[in-house]
Amino acid sequence: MYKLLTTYLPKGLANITIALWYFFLIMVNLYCAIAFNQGTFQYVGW
Amino acid sequence: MKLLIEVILFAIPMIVLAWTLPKKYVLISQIAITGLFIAYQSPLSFVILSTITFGNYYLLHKAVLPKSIKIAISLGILVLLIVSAKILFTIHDNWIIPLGMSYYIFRNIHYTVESYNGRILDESLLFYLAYNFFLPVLIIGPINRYPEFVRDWQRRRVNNEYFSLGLQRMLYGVSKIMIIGNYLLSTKFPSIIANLDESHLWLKAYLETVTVVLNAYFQFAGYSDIAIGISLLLGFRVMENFNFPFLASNMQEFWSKYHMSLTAFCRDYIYTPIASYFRKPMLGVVVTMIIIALWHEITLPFLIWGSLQAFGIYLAFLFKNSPTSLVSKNLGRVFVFNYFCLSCVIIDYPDLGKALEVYKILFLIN
Repeated sequence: MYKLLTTYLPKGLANITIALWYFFLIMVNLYCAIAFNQGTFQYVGW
Repeated sequence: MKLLIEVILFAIPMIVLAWTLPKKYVLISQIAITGLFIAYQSPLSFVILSTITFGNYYLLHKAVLPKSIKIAISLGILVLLIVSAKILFTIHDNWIIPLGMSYYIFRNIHYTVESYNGRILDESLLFYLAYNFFLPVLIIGPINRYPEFVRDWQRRRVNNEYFSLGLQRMLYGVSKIMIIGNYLLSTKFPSIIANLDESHLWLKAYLETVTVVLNAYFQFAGYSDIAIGISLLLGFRVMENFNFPFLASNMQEFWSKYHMSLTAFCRDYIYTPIASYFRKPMLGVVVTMIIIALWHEITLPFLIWGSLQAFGIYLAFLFKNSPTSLVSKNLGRVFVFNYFCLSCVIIDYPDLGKALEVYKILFLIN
């Protein structure tokens, strides 16, 4: 993804974009983990 | 909280120690932390897995027996263990299978066969323990290979690209599990499907089927991403487990992209010997897919599921010489997705009767 971004954007802007994207993902993950209390992995036991 | 978070919590000290301790203590620290993790989760699992590890190592490298006898005993015990465990845990629903045992046995079978083939160049107990007690892949794979493990250890050095890629893979893995698996496919979509009007019976059954399969895929692919990510942070490059399987245009291609470490294991140790000995590739496919199915659970629905996968691959064999175009490729993708989802109905429900009812709705049989 970083390589794709740096192809079309200046390096600084690509860095900021990817940092924002990771921040967004982390926040949504935290929200899902807290809001649904499902911080689990459902397929264990093989 | 829960297994996923605990794996990550145990991995953190492992990663810190991996890059701060002198190199000769790193593998020992990894073994110790993984041992602690297993003992913390289930002391019985720790005892069972340790016994298998030491027993197999002693048998292969210390016992005074002809090589072929040692290999036969080792493989016999390992196969017997996995089969008896699967049968016992299928009969007794309340029993909990030792943590990661299926993958553990597969790694040991791989080690034994490679040992017979003379491809195990480093036979030290330390590497063998580190390979067996490697936290990221312990619970649910990928089934990593011993020669690659040793090679990665020998080439291991601080690598910024590995760190960056590892963290990214972990984040994407957690997102697949938390956002797509746990939120969208386990919470949001089921409630939308449940609110559909009763007159949309077919649509409800179809969406439920697709949701269950996609949830399993994203959970599994997500955990594989996390395992690969943690391994990269430790300096090991573990093999991939999924490569966009639902973009495959036939079932043969699908099974080369879905749970790749298991299919690669089965290709090397089950399919190739059978297909080359009997000179019948389809026989190899049928036996392999049935073994993969029964490896999940030794039950009739899984046996049927495995046969359906083999039939799907047979169809791919039949049409392999037909001309391909963009349209046929995309039609193939639609077929693969639906064939796999529909074949999974039989294992999604606890009894065959319920699965048959769903099939009747899906195929519009009154």
